[in-house]
Amino acid sequence: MNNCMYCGEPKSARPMWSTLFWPERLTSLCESCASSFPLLTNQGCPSCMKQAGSDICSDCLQWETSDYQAVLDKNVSLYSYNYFIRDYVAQWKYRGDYALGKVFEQAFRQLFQRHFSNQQYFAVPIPLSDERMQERGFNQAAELADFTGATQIEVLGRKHGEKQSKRSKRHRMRADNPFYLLGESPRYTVLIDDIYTTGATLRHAAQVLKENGAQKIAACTLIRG
Amino acid sequence: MTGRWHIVALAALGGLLAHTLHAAVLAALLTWLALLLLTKRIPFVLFIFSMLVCLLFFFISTLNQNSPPVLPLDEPLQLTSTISHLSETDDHLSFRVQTPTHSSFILVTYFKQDALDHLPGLAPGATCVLQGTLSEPEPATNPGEFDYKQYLQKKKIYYELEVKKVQDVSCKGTSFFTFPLKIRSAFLEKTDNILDGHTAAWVQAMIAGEDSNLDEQTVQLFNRWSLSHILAISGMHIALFSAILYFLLTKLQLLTREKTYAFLFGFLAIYPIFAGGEPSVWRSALMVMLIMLFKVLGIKLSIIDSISIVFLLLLIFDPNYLFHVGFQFSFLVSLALLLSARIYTGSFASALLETSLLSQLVILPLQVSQFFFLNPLSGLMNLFAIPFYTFLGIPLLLLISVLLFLFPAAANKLGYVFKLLNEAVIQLFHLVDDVAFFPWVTGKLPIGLSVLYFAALVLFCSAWETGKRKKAVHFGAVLTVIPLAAALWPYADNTGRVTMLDIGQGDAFVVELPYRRGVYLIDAAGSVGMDFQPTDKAFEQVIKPYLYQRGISKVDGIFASHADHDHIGSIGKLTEEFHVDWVRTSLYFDKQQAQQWNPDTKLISWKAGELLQLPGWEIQLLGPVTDKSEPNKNSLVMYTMLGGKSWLFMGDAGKEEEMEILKRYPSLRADILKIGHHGSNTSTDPAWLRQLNPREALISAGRKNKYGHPAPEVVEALDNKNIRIWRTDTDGAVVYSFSSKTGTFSPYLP
Repeated sequence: MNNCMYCGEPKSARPMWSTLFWPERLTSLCESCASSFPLLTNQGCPSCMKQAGSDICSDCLQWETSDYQAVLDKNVSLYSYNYFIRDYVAQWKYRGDYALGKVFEQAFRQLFQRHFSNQQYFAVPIPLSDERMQERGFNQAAELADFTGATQIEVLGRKHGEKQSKRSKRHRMRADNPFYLLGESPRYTVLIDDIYTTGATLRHAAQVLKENGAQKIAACTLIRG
Repeated sequence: MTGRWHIVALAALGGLLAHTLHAAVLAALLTWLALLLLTKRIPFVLFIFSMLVCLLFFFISTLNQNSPPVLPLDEPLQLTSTISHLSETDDHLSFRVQTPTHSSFILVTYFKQDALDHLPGLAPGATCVLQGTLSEPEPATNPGEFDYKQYLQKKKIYYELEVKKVQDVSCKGTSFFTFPLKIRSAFLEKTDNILDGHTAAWVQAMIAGEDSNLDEQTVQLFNRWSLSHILAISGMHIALFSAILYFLLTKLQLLTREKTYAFLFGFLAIYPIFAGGEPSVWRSALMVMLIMLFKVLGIKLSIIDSISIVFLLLLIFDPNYLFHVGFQFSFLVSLALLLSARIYTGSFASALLETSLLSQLVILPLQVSQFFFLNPLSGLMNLFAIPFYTFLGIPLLLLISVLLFLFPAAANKLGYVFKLLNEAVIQLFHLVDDVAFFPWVTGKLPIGLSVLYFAALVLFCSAWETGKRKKAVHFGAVLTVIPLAAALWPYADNTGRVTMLDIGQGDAFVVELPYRRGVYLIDAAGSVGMDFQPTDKAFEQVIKPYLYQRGISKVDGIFASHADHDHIGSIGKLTEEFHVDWVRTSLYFDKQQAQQWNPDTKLISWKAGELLQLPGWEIQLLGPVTDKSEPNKNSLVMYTMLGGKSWLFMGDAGKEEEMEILKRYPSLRADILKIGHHGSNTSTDPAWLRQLNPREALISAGRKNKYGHPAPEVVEALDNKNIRIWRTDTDGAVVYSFSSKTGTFSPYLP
């Protein structure tokens, strides 16, 4: 309990004036690890939070001229991408260290509440295919969706295919949609996933929902890659 | 638990305070802990542990309230006990012995015939048989006065015993555990033999924690400028000693690192005993020991965890430490400086400034509750004094101490160097003191305001360290407003006070008008020492502390009833320190007496029959009408209304004067009569009482005074008329608090 859950070094939280009577929440990480997550500080692209200027980014413009026009309102994320978070997420989702996800609970809920508290949004995690689920034992997107505090419904299923992370961007944009509907699509949906890289996965999922009656679909992701 | 031990320490503090302050502290503390748990700021284990510690300390503090053992007073007694806390000065010896049940201590004093006089066999840890008579320590009898009885009670001392002659004590034996104290005695003796007086006193104070030989003037100077922490062995000394030892042992390759740790460990365990065992010394020694221990054992705890654990350890050892001023100063300052790591950002110089500012801010409520004033410039003085003593003074004294045993002659020579330097520095302090000592008398700080102050301080520092400048400025403003509010409060208060101070055999009344429209004294007695020479005791120990704790730094005027020391002896000091506008006397007052008074104070003669109109107060002078060429008979007799009641102040006027006044004012009445001449039978004729028909009488007389005041016949005459008597020898100071129409008397002693 005294050591960092991730790096194994002893945690040292030194009280200051501001934490004398009201200490920080208990975290399972040491100060050094906890401060290594690259928090997104700028809004960036108003549509996907890509950190390149404050106008709609070229990626989003490209999507809006494709078949996926207007399927996804916007994406909000918590962190940008660096080596630390890459390794951390790898440990978490590929090597099945479920507890590592827990550290995002507080911040992820706050992110969700800040952007999606005004309407009756449902949280829809991006699913894993059955095979992948078998392999990993848990779905990190569902874990994140648990944190949001919103009602979570699993209306999507996923066909087994190649890992997204092994495909190129062009390939991803043109790929077949692996998602299918399991139940009734909610009117207001926030898709939950761990990472927004090109936005292809999220738009595939959004399109399935949109075609089945969803009015408004946004995405809330941990990382803007 | 890492980084959270301070929560346990705060829980312990709350548990102890709940008993002394209010049970609400306990409720607040438990709510706070519960909130911390619910918001996942502390783990469950810590929550339970803190609760247990809190309740444990609450329990300890209730147990601690046990009443003193009942021992016979005023009859010869024989005691056998081991002795401790032996201390010796040029004129007396003192030590503690245990009461027969071992539940508390007795403070034993022996006044030496001459400097070489001693009690044979007396040594730390010796077992002694003593004969003597027990007495109870004297409690404070005036608001603001130092309470010696309470001070000793906090050390579990309930009785005192004075050894009259050498034959009344016989000691033998010793104990192994007192060897540091034996080294101490030998060390002190060596300093006296080899060094000059000045250096010896400073070595004794700064190395061995024996401060009784320091020059009283210097001690007071250091107190005025918040420098007293330098005179006491504190964390600064321990850190310095440890650093020097560590440096020498490792750099000179005398010991390996591990052995150096072991050596330091042993040194720190023994040194506090050697240095007199003050809790502030234990605080810093234990902290360094704990940090070394953690380092050796590979336990990583933050330094604030260490100080919290030391806090807990010391309070388990003796919960009374919490009320020890040195303990409070030591922990508050250290904690504040440790918490401020994020605040220091810049250079060494700015860190020094920040350290100084933070220490001054954090001790402010303690400073005020102890001295009732602030010295706004003391921070600057510290800025100079701390580096001087840290980097030059103390290392020099340490070197002298070592040389004492190796090369006494060199120690002696070096002692003169220290004396030269130190006297120059103290001289400099005195110069600054003369031109730049502007005490800001705040008066007593109510406990609520202190709590508010600390809350504002925490918020101020939080804003500062997180870089929220605007917020910091706001809270900084609150911080300054709090002492200001305490100082300004009397100007908004519609109650006035007349206080008959318990000044021994003499008179001193303080009249504070509502809304602080004026502060006046009617007489201000001086005191005399053993040799019947005048002393400042009455002024320094009674009058000044009273005025300061009321937040008074200016006295508008003094009525000097007549030219006797027991009525005017403190007027000189008052005119020096309280900007007194005038002193009013009778026409027949011997002006010679006023020669030593501050010439800025006007001396005004006042003619009988005249009505004096002051802002918010009128006084009619009834006597003396003619010069009787005897001070007592020439006493001012003053008639006035305060709180809707008529008052008559008689000074030392006698029966003859009473009759003369009755002749001139046949219908005179007084609700409250200040009895003439301390209740002597030469005053207060029954006929006088019949005419005035007072309801209450004030008598200012010394405890067990040699004149037998008040005289039994006067007391009887008052009793016969059912007049309530308030007397300083049994009631202590008596305060009459009044608003425009009415008022009530309250004695200081229960």
